[in-house]
Amino acid sequence: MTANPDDGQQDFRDFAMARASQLFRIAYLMSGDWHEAEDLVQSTLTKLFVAWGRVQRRGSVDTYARRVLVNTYLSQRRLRRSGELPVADIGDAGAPSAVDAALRMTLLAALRELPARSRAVVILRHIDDQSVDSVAQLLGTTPAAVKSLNARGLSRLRELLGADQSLFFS
Amino acid sequence: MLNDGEIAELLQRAAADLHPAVDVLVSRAERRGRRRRRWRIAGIAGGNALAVIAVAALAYTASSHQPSVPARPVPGLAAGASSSSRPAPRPTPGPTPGTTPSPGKSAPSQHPMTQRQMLRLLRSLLPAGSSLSIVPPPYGATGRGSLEVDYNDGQGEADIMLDVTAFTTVSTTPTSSAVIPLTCPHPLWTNEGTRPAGALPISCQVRHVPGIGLERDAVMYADSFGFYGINIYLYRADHTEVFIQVGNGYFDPALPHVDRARPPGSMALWETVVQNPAWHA
Repeated sequence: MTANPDDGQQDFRDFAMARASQLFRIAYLMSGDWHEAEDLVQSTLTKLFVAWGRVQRRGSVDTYARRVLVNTYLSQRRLRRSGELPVADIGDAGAPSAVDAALRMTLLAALRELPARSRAVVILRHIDDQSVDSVAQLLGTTPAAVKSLNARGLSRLRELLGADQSLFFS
Repeated sequence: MLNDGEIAELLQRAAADLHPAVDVLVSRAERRGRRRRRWRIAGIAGGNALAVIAVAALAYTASSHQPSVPARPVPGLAAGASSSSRPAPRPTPGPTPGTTPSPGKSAPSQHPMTQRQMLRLLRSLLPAGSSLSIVPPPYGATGRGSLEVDYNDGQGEADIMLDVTAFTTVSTTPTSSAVIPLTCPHPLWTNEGTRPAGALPISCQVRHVPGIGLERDAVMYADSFGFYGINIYLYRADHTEVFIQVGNGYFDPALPHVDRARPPGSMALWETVVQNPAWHA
């Protein structure tokens, strides 16, 4: 309780407003669910807010945010694997526009077939343009493992999407 | 077959036109972060999965809810507490924008409550003779749907945080993809510091309040200052979340000052407050 709650509040807001959309894109493709993605981003930003002064002093805000996001997502995956139960969907009024909606649905379905870590690697590498080393750092694994997960993930996506090529290039 | 570059391009295209309500996400994160930072409460911790309940599945209609859920009378309630504002403890950086309801289909249609409306309603629900003073920014919660007050029932000041926001889905398991898990941790929390002599014991229960929604009633662990509080989340079937935390002390200005063994009022009183149907997001 010794931190000053006012520390860097505006800095936090500036950062969050600038990065939330990108964090959301990552979260949405990882989770495949609009509301879960919102929840992931909100949880990430909340943790970032609490730790802001310390994180900012270390100059690792972006890395911290991504790490929290990915770890929160992977933790939820682990929990869901043992206890997932259906939840009623009460609507997606804030869901994305119809543009590329078919592509997105097909891609989300394919991504859902990947193991969670592999999905995270593919998205961080190809949506967030993170380097192999950076992804390895985020996931707490080795660059070799990231390369392997990425290769396997892309290979699996290729299999799943192969038949639907016409959809993407129409 | 697609090559790696084409798959990457598809991923980029799929994510390109996703436009979340960033201002809402950030404002909520700030509010929750502020709450956590001040209260040292980790929020709703994980626990054993009980069952998933989507609030949408509760038997509820707006027509049956509003007239059939009157505010329960508060024992000892009379004319209500007096209220006042006190000056900011130091120059403020400006208020944090308030939140707006999330975009669920069934989200309440009214505008989020202003602080003045919230204060007026809270005051009307509290016993006469007590006083309320708004905690101003930067320490107090700001914006519509969020209120922080110092409350004095004559036995010492207590910090109260109150949030009224819209939500989409709540569940009683931390494992679902729903937005909000409503659970009690097992085992319950552990005190970080010494709990004052005579303090309420740590407790937590999640229950279904007939005709209203899901509620978690908790008495939290004491932080390193001996500060703890009554903590209630109510997720109403009309997609309104009402949250209240009532401490056993106040903040001066940022550090907790414990001036009583127990928070003012009782769990029953604060349940009555959050269950009042006049709160709206």
